[in-house]
Amino acid sequence: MTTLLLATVGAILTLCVYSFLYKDNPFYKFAEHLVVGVSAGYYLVIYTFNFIVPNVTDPVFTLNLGGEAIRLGGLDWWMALAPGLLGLLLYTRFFPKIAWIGRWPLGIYVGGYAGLGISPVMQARVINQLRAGATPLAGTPDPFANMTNVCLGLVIFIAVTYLLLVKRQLGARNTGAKVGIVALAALVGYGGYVALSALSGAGVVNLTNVMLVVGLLGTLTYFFFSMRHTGVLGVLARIGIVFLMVGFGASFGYTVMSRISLLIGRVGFLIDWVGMFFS
Amino acid sequence: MGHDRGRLRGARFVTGFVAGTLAAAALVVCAATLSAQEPIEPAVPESLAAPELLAVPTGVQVEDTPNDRGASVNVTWELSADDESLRFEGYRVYRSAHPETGFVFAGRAGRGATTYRDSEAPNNEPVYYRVAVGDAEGGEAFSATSDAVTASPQWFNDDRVNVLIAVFIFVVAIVYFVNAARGGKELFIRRLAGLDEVDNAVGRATEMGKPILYISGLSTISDVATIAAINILGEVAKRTAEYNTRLIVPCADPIVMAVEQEVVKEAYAKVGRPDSYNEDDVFYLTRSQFAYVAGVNGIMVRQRPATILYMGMFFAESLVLAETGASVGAIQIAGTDAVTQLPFFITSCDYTLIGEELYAASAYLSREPVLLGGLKGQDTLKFIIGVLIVITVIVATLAATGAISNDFMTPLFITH
Repeated sequence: MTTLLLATVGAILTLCVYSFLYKDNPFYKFAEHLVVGVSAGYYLVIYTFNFIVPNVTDPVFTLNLGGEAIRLGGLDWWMALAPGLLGLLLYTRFFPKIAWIGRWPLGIYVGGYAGLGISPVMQARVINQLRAGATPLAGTPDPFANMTNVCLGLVIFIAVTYLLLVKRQLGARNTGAKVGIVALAALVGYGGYVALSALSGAGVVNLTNVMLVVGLLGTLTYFFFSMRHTGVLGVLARIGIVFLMVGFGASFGYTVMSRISLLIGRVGFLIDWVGMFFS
Repeated sequence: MGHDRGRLRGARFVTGFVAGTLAAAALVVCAATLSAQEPIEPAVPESLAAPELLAVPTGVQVEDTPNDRGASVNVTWELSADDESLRFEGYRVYRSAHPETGFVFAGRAGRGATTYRDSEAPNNEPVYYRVAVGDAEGGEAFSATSDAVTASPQWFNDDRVNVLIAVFIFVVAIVYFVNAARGGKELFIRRLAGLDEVDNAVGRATEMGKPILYISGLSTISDVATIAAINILGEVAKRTAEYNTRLIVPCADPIVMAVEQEVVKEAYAKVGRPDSYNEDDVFYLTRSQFAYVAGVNGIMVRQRPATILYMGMFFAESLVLAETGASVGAIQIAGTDAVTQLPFFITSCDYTLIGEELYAASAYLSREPVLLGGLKGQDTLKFIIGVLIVITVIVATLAATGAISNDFMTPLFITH
C-alpha cells in the first residue's frame, strides 16, 4: 500500500512536470515550487549535519565543554574553528553597517580556490595533455589505420564533389554530368583510400597520429587570441574548428542517446505505476 | 503595500539564512577532507606459527613514500610461492614500533600484489613491518621483520618541477603583460563574435522593456568557469545599469550568490547607479540540479526575458534550459568549458563561447589591464605549448623510427 502511494505521488508529480510540454500551468507551478522548496530544505539539512556538525560544532564545542576524545591542541581544531568563524562572518551581510566584513571570507574563499587550482590545472590540462600529444607520426603500428583511411577517403570524396559541383558549378544543367562528377569524386576518394592504406600499411606514416597532431595544433591555434586568424594561422584555426565541431557532433549524438534512455526509464516508471492498479 | 514589503523582507531573511548556512558549510568542506582520519583496526594476536602449506613472502622492503605529506610508507615484497594456491586469501601487512612485538594490522593486499602503501604510519617515528599470508582456515604465516623506516612529510615535490617551471613562466608572462597594459601599451585581442553581441543583447532587452536573465552555471566558486562567469557578470551588470534594464541572476550555490551580489552591486555603483541595484534580483534558488532547472524554467516562461546569458559550468541541465529559453524567444548567448554540454548550447543558442573563449570574455569586455595581462599570459603559454608539441612529436617520431633516443624528454613529463 505504501509503495503504491509513493509511486502514485511520484507519477502525479512526473505528469505535472511533463504538463510543461503543453505550456506553463498551475500543475507545473505546484511541482516546481515543491521540488525547489524541498530540495533547498534538504540541502540545508545535508550541509548542516554532514559538514557543520562533524567539522565545526563537534570539535569546537566538545573542547569548550571539556570533552576528551577531540583532537585537543591539534591543528585540526583550529582548522575547524577558522572556517567556522569565516562562515559566521558571512551573516554580517544582514547588517548594512558591517556588511563589508562579509567580503573577507569571500575573498579568502575565491582567492584560495583560484590559487590552489593553478597547480592541478597546469598538471592535468597542460603537462598531461602535452605528454599525450607527443605521438610518433611514423614507425609505430596503427590499430585504427583502416578506420582513419576510410574517413580520409570520404573526406577526399566530399571535398572533390564540393569543389567540382558547388565551387566550379560543373554540370549545373546536366544531370548526367552531375552523376559523372560524383562517380569521378568517388573514384578519387577510393584511390585516396587505397594510397593511404598502402602508406600506413608500409609503416611510412601513422595517419591516426597525424590527424591527432594536426587537430591538436589547429584547435590550439583557434584559441589563440593575440593575433588575427588570417594566413597560415587562419588555415590552422579553421582546421581546429572543424575538429571541434566533429567532436561536438559525436558528443551530441552520444548524449542524446543517453537522454532517450532516461525518457524510456521515466515512461517505464509510469507504465509500471499503471500496472500496479491491475496487479 | 507595507504587508508585501514585510513579507519580502521575511522571505529575504529566510533565503539569506539558508544561503548563509550553506555557505558556512561549504567553507568547512576543505577542513573536513583534511581532518578525516580512519580508525586503526585493533591489534591482532601475534601468532607466528605458519601453517605448513603456505609459504611466507620474502624480501620485504620498506621506504618512506617520496614527495608526500607524510604518514605514508611503501611496503614491497616478493610473491609467496603459494600465491596461486586455492587456500591463499591474500597478504596482510602489520606495523609495529618494535621489531619483535606489538604488530598491529595496517592493511591488506590481494593475490598477486607485491606492494602496499600504509597511509597511517606515524610521522618521524621508526616503525617495522611484517607481511603475512592468510589461508582459508584463518591461519597466518609471517615474513621476517623489515628494516626500520621513518615516515616524514616532504616540503618539496620534485616530481612536479616541470609544473613549477610552467607556472613560473605563466606568472612571469602575466606580470609582464599586466605591466605593459598598465603602461599604456595597446594589447590586441582578436574579435569574438559572441561577445560583440552582448551590447546588442542588452540593447534589445532595453528596447523591449524586458529583463535579462544571467545563469552562471551549477558549479561552485572553486570552478574556474564559475570565476570567469562572475567576471563576465560584472561587465554585463555595468551595461544593464547604464541602460537601466533589469538583471535577474538565480544562483545554485550560496557562496556564488554572495559573490555575485557583491559584483553586481559594485557594477551598479561604478556606473553611478547604486540605487538601481535590487538585491532580490540576485538570489539563491536551490543546490539541487533539476530543481534549479525547474525554477529557472518557471522564471523564463513567466518573466519572458529578452536576453538569456549562460556562462560557467553546466551539466545535463544545459539543453533543458537553452530549449526553454529558445521557446520564449530570447536571444541566447552561452559560454562554457564543459565539453559535453557545448554541443547543446551550439545547437540551441544564438552565440556560443567555446571553452577558452569564456576565460577571455571578461578581458575582452572590460579591457582592464589585469585581465588583459592574464589573457596575454595564457596566449604566451599556448604558444610555448604549440612549439613544444611540434618538438616532442618530431622527437617521438625519430625515436620510433630508431633514429634517436627520446630519454631526454622524460624530465619534461614527470608527474605522478
